[in-house]
Amino acid sequence: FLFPIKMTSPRMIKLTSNDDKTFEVERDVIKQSVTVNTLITDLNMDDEDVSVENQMAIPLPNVDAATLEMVITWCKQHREDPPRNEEEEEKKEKRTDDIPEWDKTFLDVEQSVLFALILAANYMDIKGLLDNCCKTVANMIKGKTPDEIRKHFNIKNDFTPEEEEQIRKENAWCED
Amino acid sequence: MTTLPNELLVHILKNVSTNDLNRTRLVDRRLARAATSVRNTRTKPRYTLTVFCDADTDETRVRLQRRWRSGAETEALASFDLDTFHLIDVDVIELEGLRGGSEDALKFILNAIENTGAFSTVSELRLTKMSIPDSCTTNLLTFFKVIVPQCSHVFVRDSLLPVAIPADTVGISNRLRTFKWTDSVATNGEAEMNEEIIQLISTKLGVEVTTVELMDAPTTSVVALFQQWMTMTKPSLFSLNILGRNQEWQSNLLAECVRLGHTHFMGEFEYPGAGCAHVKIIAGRDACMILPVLDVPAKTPNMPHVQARWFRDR
Repeated sequence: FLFPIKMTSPRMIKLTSNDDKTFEVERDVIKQSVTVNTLITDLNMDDEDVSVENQMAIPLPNVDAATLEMVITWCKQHREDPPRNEEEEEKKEKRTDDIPEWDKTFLDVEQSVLFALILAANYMDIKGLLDNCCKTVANMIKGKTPDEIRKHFNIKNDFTPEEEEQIRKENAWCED
Repeated sequence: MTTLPNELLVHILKNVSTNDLNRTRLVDRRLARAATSVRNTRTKPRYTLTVFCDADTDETRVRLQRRWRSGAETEALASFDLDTFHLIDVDVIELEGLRGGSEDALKFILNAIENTGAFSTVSELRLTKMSIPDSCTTNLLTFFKVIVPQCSHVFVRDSLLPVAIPADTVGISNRLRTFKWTDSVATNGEAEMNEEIIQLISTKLGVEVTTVELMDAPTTSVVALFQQWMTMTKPSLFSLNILGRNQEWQSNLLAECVRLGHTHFMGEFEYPGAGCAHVKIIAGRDACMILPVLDVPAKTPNMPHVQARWFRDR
């Protein structure tokens, strides 16, 4: 006997960036974005009768196309990650040496791109991506002098000498 | 980095060490604010605060010593910046050798308690060679009421105080493990304090209070405590030193114990519940010490058992 097997293609979701580029992404991939996930549920978009062609695209007014493409790539790579327990994550000792190798390479980009990814991950509420981006920036800060940090991130020192002296004094009480 | 809102700067800085956070505070005002808010969520460094009289200048000085670190910052009390207490936690308070300066020292600490959060986890209080005048009674009482209930260890040595540590302050303490009141006199409330401490031992016997040293204590309370102790199934872990009691008082204590049916050899009583455990009452010239003694078999392979004597008087 041959049983007819119903081949179901993965459910797709449409996302539109702020520069009007639309991306189709698997429902299972984009579920990592709490923002998108909530919208899909609230708008009843999980209804199987609606084809992707007739489906409304979810606008993401805070994310440009290049960044959204990177976000989707990251989500595809991490689609099999176990769900995060935020309470446990909060309790965990903060470390920055646990960024996966793939992410390290993926996030080895220009500062402006990394900061755009941080903003997108924050807006789309993708905790894993946000954490790894923030850890990457934290690694850039580690071990640097204030002057080196200023140079690295192109920041202007706006302290008066008196303010700087006061902070140095306070820091002396709290050194590790 | 200027494109990132403050909450994301905080998110980033949560991942850096305290020293990196300190360096980040020196970059610019915005990063300083973010780094400070991260620092405020972390455990503050713990310090021992000592207020003492400088022997050379007779000046009252403040010393802050970081826990487990060598070196300390010392400054005159009058010029000490109270804001420092916003950055640290004080876990030990020591007042040493203050006479004239004790009034200023108490005001200084009470002011710091009221205006900063540094004094909410004090675990040890030490008053040594203090002479506090009657005019400081109210401030001293306030100080005791705030600090003593937090403490695990309280030591008062060679001091003259206008008032003892209030009995109710001792009574509500859940943490007190060591209490030593040695060669010290309080003009008021000493008997009530001692009575309350005896009561505290009796209710929390062997659990909370480990060492108690008193100038004075009524025989009846001590005998009652001894009775309770002797009927415990396990020897408890505290010792009691009663100072300033003459030999007649001590003989009365031993006689009362015998009258209650506890036989002793040279002041040593065997626990009814454990053959190898004893309680020893050591009588000195003007002091009396009660401590548990355990005879522990010290076993070595292929050797006969030897009894080792362990004085559990930590």
